[in-house]
Amino acid sequence: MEARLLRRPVATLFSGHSQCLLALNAASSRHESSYRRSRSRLNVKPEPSFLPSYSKAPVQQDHIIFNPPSSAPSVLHTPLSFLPKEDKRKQLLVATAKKFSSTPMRLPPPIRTKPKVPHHHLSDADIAEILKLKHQDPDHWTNAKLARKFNCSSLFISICLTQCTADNTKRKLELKQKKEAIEARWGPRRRKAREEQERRFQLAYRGA
Amino acid sequence: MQSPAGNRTQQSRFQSSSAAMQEDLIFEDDDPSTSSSRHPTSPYASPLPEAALNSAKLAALHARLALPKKLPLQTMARTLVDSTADPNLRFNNASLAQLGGSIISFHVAEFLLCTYPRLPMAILFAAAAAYGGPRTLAIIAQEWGVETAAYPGSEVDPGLLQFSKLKPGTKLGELGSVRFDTGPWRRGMSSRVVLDDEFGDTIPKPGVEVDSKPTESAYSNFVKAVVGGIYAHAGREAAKKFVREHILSRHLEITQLFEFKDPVRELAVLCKREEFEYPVARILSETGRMSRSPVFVVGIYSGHEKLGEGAGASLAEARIRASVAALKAWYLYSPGNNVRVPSDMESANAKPWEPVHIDIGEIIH
Repeated sequence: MEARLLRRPVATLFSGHSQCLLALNAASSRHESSYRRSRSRLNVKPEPSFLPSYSKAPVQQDHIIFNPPSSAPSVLHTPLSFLPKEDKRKQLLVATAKKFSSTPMRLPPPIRTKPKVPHHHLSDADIAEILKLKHQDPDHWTNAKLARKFNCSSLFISICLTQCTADNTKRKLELKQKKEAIEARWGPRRRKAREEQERRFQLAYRGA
Repeated sequence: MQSPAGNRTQQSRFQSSSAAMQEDLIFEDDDPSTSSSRHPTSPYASPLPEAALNSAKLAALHARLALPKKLPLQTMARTLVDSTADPNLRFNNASLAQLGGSIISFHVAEFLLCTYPRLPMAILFAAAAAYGGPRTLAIIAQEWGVETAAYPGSEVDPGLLQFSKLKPGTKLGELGSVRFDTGPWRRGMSSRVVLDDEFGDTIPKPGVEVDSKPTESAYSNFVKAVVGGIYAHAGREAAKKFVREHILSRHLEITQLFEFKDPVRELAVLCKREEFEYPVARILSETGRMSRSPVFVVGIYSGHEKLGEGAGASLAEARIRASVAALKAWYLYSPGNNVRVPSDMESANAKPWEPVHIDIGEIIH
């Protein structure tokens, strides 16, 4: 056991996952020797208001304790701006919100700070150029290459090329075969992980 | 009172004495007395109306459902005879089921439209089917404790549901419709609204057997016929109360009916349409980034207001979940718990009507 304990952090150092260094501290490795230690550390006294009425020192109270576990907010709670104008609750909630938002609120950080490519910078001549290049050599001028050349997103290129009549069925078939060949090389673990990811996203689209 | 058909008239059955006064009987669909496949002890396709008064099952069902006293046992017996058991329209429940089905779908529709005024059409169809669709009505009838007769006939207890199952070798037609469905037109939501039934399903062509679940449709026709019978005998208020207590009281998890294709974009389009600020995804909290199982909690903000929140194993997933939550919050807006419906105005001394919220429609992107 000792040898394995020592070897594990060293192995993780080489694998490049720096956060695994945390495994060195005692609390994260759970063994028979550390059981009592972690148990006594996690043995936190409950909040006195949660003590049952039959306990030795019950807290005298005549109010309801509402302390739900942390969970996602219900979608049945409509945000204030989603309420229609004629709703009677809107005026009340607006008044309440004004009272509490007198101090300027600091918003949490956005996911993406700035877009990678500029928007709305291509002219009609540029779009005509994109179409011309695609017509000239559709196999060479792929969406990604055109996006790099014109410094725009490949989504914008694909929108431009929806009216382009260049025949891309052959290339699509090639790409599909390439993708299938790559997927055929997947081992059981990667395949399972990908399938689970797909299922997770399907659930996310249903909000389940 | 003598007529050439007098011999046959004596064998026929009557719902009331006025029918017996008629000289000639016209059998619209099928003359039950000429059917030769029936056993001699069972001369008619369904039990006689008099037998309803002697059936313990029927009386028990009437009492169990706390039906109004005005609804007689004879009508109750008639609601249990499906058109597949007795094709004669004067003895089966087809007409009552038609009436009751309309009443049920009316009350379900006004309840859904007033409670959730912003539901998209697809969800509205699904919710209507979940409240008053044939599958739900069959479950309701089974919960009432109605049992089926093995085979319909006049010797059967009138308290049993009577219908015919499909004969072996029956060819089920393709799901046909009253219009030419395979043309250049797409069967979209608008065509469903205009041409299809109240659940957005195609209406089958007459004469084409498409129903592969005769038990389910017999059960659902029975429930519809009960509502129709209550309406006919006890009136509008009693029928509404019955629908509210047995159909609208069921719990439907309406938040689980949604599925979005591109929620992030749909929310952006919604914010543009309603002139809110552009929705921005912000990280509320995170744990375990770059580890095997991270959790990100992402909120979608429009200006300073949080529209939705979602947690996921990646930023993309959490953002999708947050957008889905925001869109659901938009679509599931409800004016309150006990929203008044238009049929409430039919009761005596009703308060003046306040207009309900009418939404401009779902988000198109």
